[in-house]
Amino acid sequence: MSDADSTVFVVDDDPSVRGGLGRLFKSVGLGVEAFASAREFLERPPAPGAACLVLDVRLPELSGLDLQAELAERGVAIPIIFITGHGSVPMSVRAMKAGAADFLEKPVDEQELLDAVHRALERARVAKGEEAALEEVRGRLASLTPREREVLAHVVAGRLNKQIAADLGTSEKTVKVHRARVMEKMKVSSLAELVRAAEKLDLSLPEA
Amino acid sequence: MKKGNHKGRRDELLAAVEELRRKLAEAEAAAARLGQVEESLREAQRLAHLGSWDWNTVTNELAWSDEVYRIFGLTPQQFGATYDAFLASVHPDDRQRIMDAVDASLADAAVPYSIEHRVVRPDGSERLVHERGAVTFGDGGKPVRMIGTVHDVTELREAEFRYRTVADFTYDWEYWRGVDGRLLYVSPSCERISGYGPDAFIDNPELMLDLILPEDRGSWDEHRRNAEVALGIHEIRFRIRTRDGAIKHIEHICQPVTGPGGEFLGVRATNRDVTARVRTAAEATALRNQLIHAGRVAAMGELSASLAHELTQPLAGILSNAQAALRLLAADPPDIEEVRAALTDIVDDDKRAAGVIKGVRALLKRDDPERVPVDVNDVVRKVAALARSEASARDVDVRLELAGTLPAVSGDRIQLQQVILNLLINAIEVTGDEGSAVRDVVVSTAERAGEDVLVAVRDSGPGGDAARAERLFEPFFTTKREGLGMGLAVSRTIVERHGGRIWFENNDDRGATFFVSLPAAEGKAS
Repeated sequence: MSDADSTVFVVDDDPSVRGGLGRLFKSVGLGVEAFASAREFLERPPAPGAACLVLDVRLPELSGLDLQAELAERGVAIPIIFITGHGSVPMSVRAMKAGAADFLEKPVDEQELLDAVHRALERARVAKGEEAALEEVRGRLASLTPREREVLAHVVAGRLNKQIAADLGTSEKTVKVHRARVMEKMKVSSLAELVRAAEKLDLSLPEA
Repeated sequence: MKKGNHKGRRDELLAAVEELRRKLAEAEAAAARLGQVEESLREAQRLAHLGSWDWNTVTNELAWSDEVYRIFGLTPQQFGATYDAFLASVHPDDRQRIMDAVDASLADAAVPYSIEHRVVRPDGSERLVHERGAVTFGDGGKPVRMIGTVHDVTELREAEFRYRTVADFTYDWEYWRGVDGRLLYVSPSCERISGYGPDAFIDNPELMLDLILPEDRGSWDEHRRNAEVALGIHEIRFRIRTRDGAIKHIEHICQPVTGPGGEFLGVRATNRDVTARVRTAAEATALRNQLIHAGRVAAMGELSASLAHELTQPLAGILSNAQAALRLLAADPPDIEEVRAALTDIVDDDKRAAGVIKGVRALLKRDDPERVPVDVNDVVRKVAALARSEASARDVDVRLELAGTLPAVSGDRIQLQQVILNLLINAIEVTGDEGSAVRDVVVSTAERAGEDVLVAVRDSGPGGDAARAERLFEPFFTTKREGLGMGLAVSRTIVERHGGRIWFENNDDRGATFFVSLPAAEGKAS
């Protein structure tokens, strides 16, 4: 993915800061959407490509830190670059602990800011890729029959075909067939790959 | 003698006796009248302490009236009544002077005899007398007689001495200007104050005017005109340059002088040297100004974080726009329209930053307080702009409810801004501290009863203890953890200097309101 698919969201109540940042990001070919308040930002439709948020700490009503918490609450994963007129150490620590990508002081030099934005977008892209991969694995899992899921759970728990057959009250041969179907549906070629996919999905093992 | 003759003779005698009796009665009556006249004369002389004498310069016989004896402390028997005997009663130091004066008058009819000298009474006590005399010259121009008066002026001179002492030893510079403009009296203390002695002022009645500093002469002229138009006590302050070049502050008070019949006799004036008092007052004023300035700096200190933010915002905008513009210019083809837009924003941001600095500098600078017409609405708007960032940082909504038209108040714009700034910062702080949903501060202005301008700063804080309301305005009284508690004390000082009042009331629902009332100046605010 390139910068063209990326969006930098700017949330700052000060029109001149908003305008300046917007113009700067546009000048390097980034897509920009600017908002005067956290509420406006929360009401926007979700962005299709990779995105990051350049967020003023100090905003009327909902502050930057409040917005960060609200986004986490809603499960929206977007890298946040905080900018502040007068950052205090406790404030930046709090922001970074809550997962902020960067914490910069106004006025921000373009290189510092653009570097931070590019890092954040890269992170977003990676996250986006991982998310897409996970979605695919989830889809594959959904295609399994209940019996195949049972077999999968036992397989990734490291049990032998014979043990699985005994546990499920079926023949070892039938287990082998199910196992082959699971490998096929999950599009994996080895047990190791299957275990990794299961870990990604955070499948809990059934009680042995 | 014949019997008939005898009878006729007897009748004749009886008639003569009767005639004598009548004449005697007339003489007695005349003598009585004369005695009455003499008695009146004696009484008059006694009352006036004025005796008379008659000296025959040829025979050297000297006749004194009773009052002269009384003045000299003598009885007629004790006095030999000659010129030499008279001289013996005179104080030894004065004798030669008297002899010279008498000789001069006897020698020349044009020289009147008038002299004051001391008399030593037999009991040793002294009297001061004033003698006047005139000489009568006989045929051939020789003096034959000298008559005169002796006036006992001891009490008169003592009274004069007392009054003169009172006048001459007044600490202030006193004078009496007569109707014709000449100075009838100037107290010697004028020399202590002005460096010039009384004679200098008496010789040149306009000397005092010359000493008044040119800047103060206008008000002096006005004072003189007022004093002429309206009789009564008039006061004025002016400065003089003394003989040695020093500047002195004079408090001048004058009033008309009238005679026993109410006739105008001129003006009596007092010039008091108040230089030390004026200096002390000036020092106190300077100290108070320093305190007010310190209060302002402290108030600005509380705002410093917000003000830094106010400056950082436009600077951030300028930097981003400038760097964006550089990139836009480097592009091929450069987007000139977008560059123009960026530069326009840069100019606006620069002006905005300059505006913030100007507002801060105005409050931090240290000028002498001025008295100009001030638009209170404008004061409130400027202060609200300064505190805007602080309000937003504390999540407080500041609303202005300003009167459409407001009379101007007379005063110092910066000091009035300081008062409103103090009240507004307090209101924002107490409202911001409160974890309540209502986070409003309302600043309103109104004209009250057509003469006062009222500013109300209403907060949504916890309100205050009404019992401690008065203490709020005392120095170092504070309910805040930070701050010296000088804000309200300084605010009260400023408001009272402007002839106004500052007070505090709890609101009916929540929070409290601080009120400032200021007297309206003449005319409307421009």
